[in-house]
Amino acid sequence: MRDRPISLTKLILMVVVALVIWIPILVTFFTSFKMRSEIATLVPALLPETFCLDNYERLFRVMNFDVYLRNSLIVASVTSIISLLASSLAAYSLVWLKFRNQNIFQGFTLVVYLFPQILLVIPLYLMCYHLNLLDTAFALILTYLAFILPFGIWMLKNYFQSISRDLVDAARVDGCKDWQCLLRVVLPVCLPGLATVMTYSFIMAWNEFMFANILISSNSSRTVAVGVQALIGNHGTDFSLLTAAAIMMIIPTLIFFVLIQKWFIEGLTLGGVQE
Amino acid sequence: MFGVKRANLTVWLFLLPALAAVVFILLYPMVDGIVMSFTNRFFSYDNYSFVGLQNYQLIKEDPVFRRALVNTVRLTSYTIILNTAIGFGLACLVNSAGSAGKFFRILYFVPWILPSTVVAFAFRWLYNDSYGYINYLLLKWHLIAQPVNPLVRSELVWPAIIIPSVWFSYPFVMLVFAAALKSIHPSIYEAAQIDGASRSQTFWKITLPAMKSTFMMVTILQIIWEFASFDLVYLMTRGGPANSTLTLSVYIYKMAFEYKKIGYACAMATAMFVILAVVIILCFIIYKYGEKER
Repeated sequence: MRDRPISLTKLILMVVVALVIWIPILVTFFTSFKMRSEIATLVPALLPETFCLDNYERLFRVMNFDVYLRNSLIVASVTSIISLLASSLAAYSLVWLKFRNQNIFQGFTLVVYLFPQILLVIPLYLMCYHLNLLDTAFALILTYLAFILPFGIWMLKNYFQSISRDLVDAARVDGCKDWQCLLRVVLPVCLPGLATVMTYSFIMAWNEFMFANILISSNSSRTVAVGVQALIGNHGTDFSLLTAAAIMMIIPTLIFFVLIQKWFIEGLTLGGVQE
Repeated sequence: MFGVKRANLTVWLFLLPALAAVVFILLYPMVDGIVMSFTNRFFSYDNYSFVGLQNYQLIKEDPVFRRALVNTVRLTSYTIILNTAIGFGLACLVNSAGSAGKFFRILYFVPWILPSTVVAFAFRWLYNDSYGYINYLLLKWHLIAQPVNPLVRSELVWPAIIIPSVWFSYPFVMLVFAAALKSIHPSIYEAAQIDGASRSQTFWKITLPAMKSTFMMVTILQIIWEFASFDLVYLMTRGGPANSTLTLSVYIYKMAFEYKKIGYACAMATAMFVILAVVIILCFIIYKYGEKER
């Protein structure tokens, strides 16, 4: 990478673009620290007069927001761990255990991408209704897994293919079982791929709205996406409270993203460019 | 190869978790949904009967379905065109800025990881007609006389919904274009420079043609995502005012979970799937044809 010094105009242009793009985030962020009385003014300032944590306190003390956060944390972590396991197993067998009908399986994992979620949600709702799974975290985890796995398998397959075949064959000659090969040889050199799949599934499960809205009905099992929406429904004009809820919801994903952004961005584009 | 026999059992064990999830959560409901589209099923009542193609006949005569289809195509096309323009422009910008560009690429990417509930809410707060910032600025600059809520005005609702729709989907396009631009070998540019090509010539004759397959791939992916997207429209307008932003997904959702007409909703969803599949297959044919041309 050549690293020529960039011109000042280009730098200013990039800063301005960044500010314009970040307007909704910044406005939401600063509003969440405003006093309730400060919102209802005809001359809104961007920055709050005093940064108060009042809204966050109300959110947790009165609105039980921690219940939503906990539910989402459970759903998102379990989803990302299981999807990591299942997609690395499947990708391993696609790359190193050649089997009959492999192309059918591979094509199939891509075709399911075309299924509109709105067509799946109706039968899934009825299925969960009959199996008594409505309003459970289990139903959500299972649904998210099915949507993430095709992406995870595809992504890890690209990573696994970049490993030299000799490495795996050598381990096999040494008497490694397949699961040992996967665990000790393949996975350690594919950490960026694993991080990508994990981050993607965590963020997707954390943010998902439609399925959570339909499959979950009771207040105590709501995930944070549905919880925020319920708060908007009940406290529609209490913008300081709602912006605090929005900020609380995006903080975990932002932290996750910032920690893994280098691998995540690389992984997403690897999948995209290799198609 | 060694261990062919043993491998068969391992293959099945390794594939089982993924296969089970995909079959039970994607394939079975898909088939079930298509089967239900031929019934008059009402909500979760189990006594229903097959009515043949009656639901599909209803679709043909339903003016709201046609309207929702047109709206969906409209929203999808506007979003994809703007995404491509903005995504490609920003990709060029961050790629030409070295390590500072890498930092800004992260800043520009953030909207993509935000949840739709938060995006919809943040824009509704910006658009708010009593205390929102946009109305405040427009009033202050005397561009409008009365505060307006764009989400309830049929002439303003389209831009008001397209802006957030683009805002949280352009980052992926930017990312893919940035990677594709980087994959053009620098020696090609140097050769062009030696041959005395101007900057605009280099752009039109080298950069743009090299983006052709990336452009097709990104467009196909976006059609799949945007055509079926549900969250933003549902959270911001629920299809209103007066169905002017009603998209297929939102209409199907209302039909299934508000009017409880499961059979008809499944028929519309199946029709939507068929339309999407035909469009995607056409795109792939054009794509393959374009590859052969080169």
